[in-house]
Amino acid sequence: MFKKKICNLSQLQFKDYIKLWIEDFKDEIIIFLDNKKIYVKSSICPHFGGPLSYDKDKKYLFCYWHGLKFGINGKCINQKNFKTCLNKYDYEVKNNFLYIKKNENS
Amino acid sequence: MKILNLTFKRKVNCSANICKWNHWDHDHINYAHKGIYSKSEIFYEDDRVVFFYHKIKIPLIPFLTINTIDFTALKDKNTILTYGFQFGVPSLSTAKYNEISKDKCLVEVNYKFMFTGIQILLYPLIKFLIPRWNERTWKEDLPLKLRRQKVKRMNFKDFKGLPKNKKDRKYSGTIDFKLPIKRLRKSDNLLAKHPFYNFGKKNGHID
Repeated sequence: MFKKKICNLSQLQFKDYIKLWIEDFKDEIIIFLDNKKIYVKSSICPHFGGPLSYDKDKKYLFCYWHGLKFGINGKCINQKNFKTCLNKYDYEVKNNFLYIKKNENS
Repeated sequence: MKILNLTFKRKVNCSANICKWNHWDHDHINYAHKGIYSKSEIFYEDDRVVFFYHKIKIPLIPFLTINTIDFTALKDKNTILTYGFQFGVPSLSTAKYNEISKDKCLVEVNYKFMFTGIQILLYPLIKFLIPRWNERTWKEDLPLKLRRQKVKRMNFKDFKGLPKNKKDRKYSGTIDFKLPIKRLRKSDNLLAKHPFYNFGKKNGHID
């Protein structure tokens, strides 16, 4: 299991989301809070690869390239037959720091 | 009669096929260029042409909107033509995308406007606006092209995303450009199909 230190939790509390490219995962990650629960997902829209942002008030992820919306569960909410969900990542919190975990082979 | 003829050349770090994808990706204009395109309807499309109606906000004069109909065609593998009427003035924009090395492209966009009669009064306005239009749309499209290039080089598949395994997130082959580009069927799509919409059959003119 590979672990990557991402951010201090206090950084997350004062922002709508944190987004960063993680070379070790070859993915762009978005981290956001909803009802004090942390969510870690890929922020690469599976449609054409656009950047996803999290709208804290509307509680969905939004792609500004084509307007696709994804719920916090990672499922597309404005196109019924869009089956691909956002990749999600496991995480752990240690000493107030957020670490993202990933299997070495995946 | 007076003809305005302006050409803009730029280099970009992405393949010609990424540039053509961006040009032909009709669904992005009402999102990535939402400050310009306030309403769009599509009448007809097939694997070589598309016919649109747009309501456009004029750069630097946002309270002024104009209606335009545009006909876009893939003339050859590197050239996309758009015929339009802005302020009633017929126009032709010709975009040429030529690969200069791997994942590097020269983009050449030529705009022509033909003024007749009293339309000649619009010549200085359009001459002033076109460089600003070109600069703005270029800046708005650039991050899309660069990101698209990056994800395609990570073996990104449209409607599927990145490969599950990290080791498969690498691709060095040719990046595809196939028309028509598969469109979304979102419930809240900003690019509406006109009631007269038609999608042409591939090779329909031959059979």
